[in-house]
Amino acid sequence: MKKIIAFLCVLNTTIALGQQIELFDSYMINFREIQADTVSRNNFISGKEISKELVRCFVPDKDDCECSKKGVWYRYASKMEKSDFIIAIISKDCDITKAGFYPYSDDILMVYSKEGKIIDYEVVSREGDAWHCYYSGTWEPLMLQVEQAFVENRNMKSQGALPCFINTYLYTMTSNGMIKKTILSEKQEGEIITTIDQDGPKRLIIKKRK
Amino acid sequence: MKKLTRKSLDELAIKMPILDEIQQKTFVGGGEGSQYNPYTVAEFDAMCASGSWNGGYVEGWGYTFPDITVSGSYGGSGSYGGSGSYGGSGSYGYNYTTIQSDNFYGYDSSDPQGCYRRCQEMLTAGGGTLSGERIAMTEVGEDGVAGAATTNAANGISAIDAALRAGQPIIVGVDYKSGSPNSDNMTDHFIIITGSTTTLNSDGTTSTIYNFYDPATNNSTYGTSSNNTLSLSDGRLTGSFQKPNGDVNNYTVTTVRTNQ
Repeated sequence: MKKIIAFLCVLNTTIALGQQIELFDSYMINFREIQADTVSRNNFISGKEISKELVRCFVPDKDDCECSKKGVWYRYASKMEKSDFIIAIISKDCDITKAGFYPYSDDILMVYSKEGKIIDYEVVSREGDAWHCYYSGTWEPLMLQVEQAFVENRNMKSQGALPCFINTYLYTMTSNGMIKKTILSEKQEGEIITTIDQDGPKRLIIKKRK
Repeated sequence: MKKLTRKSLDELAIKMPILDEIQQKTFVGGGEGSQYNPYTVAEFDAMCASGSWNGGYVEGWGYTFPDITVSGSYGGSGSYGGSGSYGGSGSYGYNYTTIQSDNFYGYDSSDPQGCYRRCQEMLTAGGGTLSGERIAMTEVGEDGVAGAATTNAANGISAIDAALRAGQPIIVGVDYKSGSPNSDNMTDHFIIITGSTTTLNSDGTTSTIYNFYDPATNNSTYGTSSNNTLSLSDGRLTGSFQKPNGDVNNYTVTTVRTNQ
C-alpha cells in the first residue's frame, strides 16, 4: 500500500512539473531572442502584454509604492538562454501612478531556471516622463551598465531640457544565477532633452562636465 | 490750422458713428489669417480672385480651407463591336486641424487618473462642449479588450468627422491592455482627436488618418507628436502612441464622446 501511495506522489509531482514546464515554454515563446552579445536599447523595447495568469506564475509580485494597482501591467521584451539559466527582460508599466508621481516603465532583469523557477530578479532601469536611461555592456558574460537619469519633481515643470541627476550601475551575474548590482557613480548632473527627427520624438541624456 | 484736441474729438464722437475694433479691421484689413488676427472677407475675396488663397482664418467665418483641386484624366480606346476601357488617375487631399500644441494638457501628477479631465480641458480650449452622448465603437471582447466593430461604429466616425469639420476636437476612449477601470469593461484611457487628413487613393477610394493628443504623458513633444495617428481597419479605428521610452501602446477606439 505504501509503495502505491509513494508511486502516486511521484507521479503527481512529475505531472505537476510537466505542466509547469509546458506553461513556462508558452511564456518564454513570446520573448524576442537577444541576437548580439552587446547590449542595446532595442533589447529593452517591450511589446505584447503578459497575461494575468502568466504574471501570477512567473513575475515577482512586489508592491510598488509609486503605482496605483489599477495602473500596473507587464509586457514581454527579450531573452537569452545561458548554459544553466534563462535571462529575460520584462517591462512593468505603470500608467496610473499614485498622486505626486509620473507614469513610468520599469525594466526587470529576470533569471529563471530551465524549468521556470525564479532564481533572482532586479529592476535595472526606469523610463518615463521623469526618467530616461542609456544602456551599454555585454550579455555574454552579463555586464549590463545602466546610466539612469531622473528628474526631481520640482524640475518637472521646466520648459525644454529637464535638469536631471544620473546614477550609473553595473549588473553582473554570479555562477549560481544571482544578480549583483554595483554602483559606479551617483548624482552626476545633466539634462534630458527631447528632439524630433524623421522617425518622431527622441530623448537624450546630456551629462554636465565635471 | 485748427489744433485737434481731445475736446474736439469728443464733439466729433457725438456727431459721427463710432466703429468698433472688428468693424475697423473690416475697412483697414491687415489680417494675417491666424485665429487671433484673421483676414477680412474683403481680403479673402481679393486673395481668391488673385489665386493666392492658401487657407486661413477669416473674420466671422472661422478657418477657411483652400480650394480643393481635383485633377484626373480619362482615356480609352476601342472600336464598335470590340472592346474598350477607361481609366483615370488623380489625387486630392484635405485636412482639418483644430487645436495647436500649446493647448496640450498632459499628465498631471496631482490627478493621475485624470486623462478624461485633461481631454475635457483640451476640448474646451478647442471650443467644443460635450453633448453627453456616447457612441460605442466596439463590442467587448475577452479579458476586457475591444472586440469587433459595433453596427453603430459608422455613426461614431461620422461624429468625429462632423466635429473636425466644425473646427472642434473630439474625445474618444481607447483600449490597449486587458481589463479596464471603466464601466464598459474595455476602455483603458481617453485621448482627443485633433485633426484629420483625407487622401484619394489610386483605386478611387479615400483614406483618412486621424491625429490625436495623448495625456498619457506630460511631455508635450510626445503627447502632440504627428506620429500619434488612428485609421480605420475592419470598421475599427486603431492606431498607436509611442511612449517616451520607445514602447508603443496600440490603441483601439472603443467609444466616442460626441460634442454639442
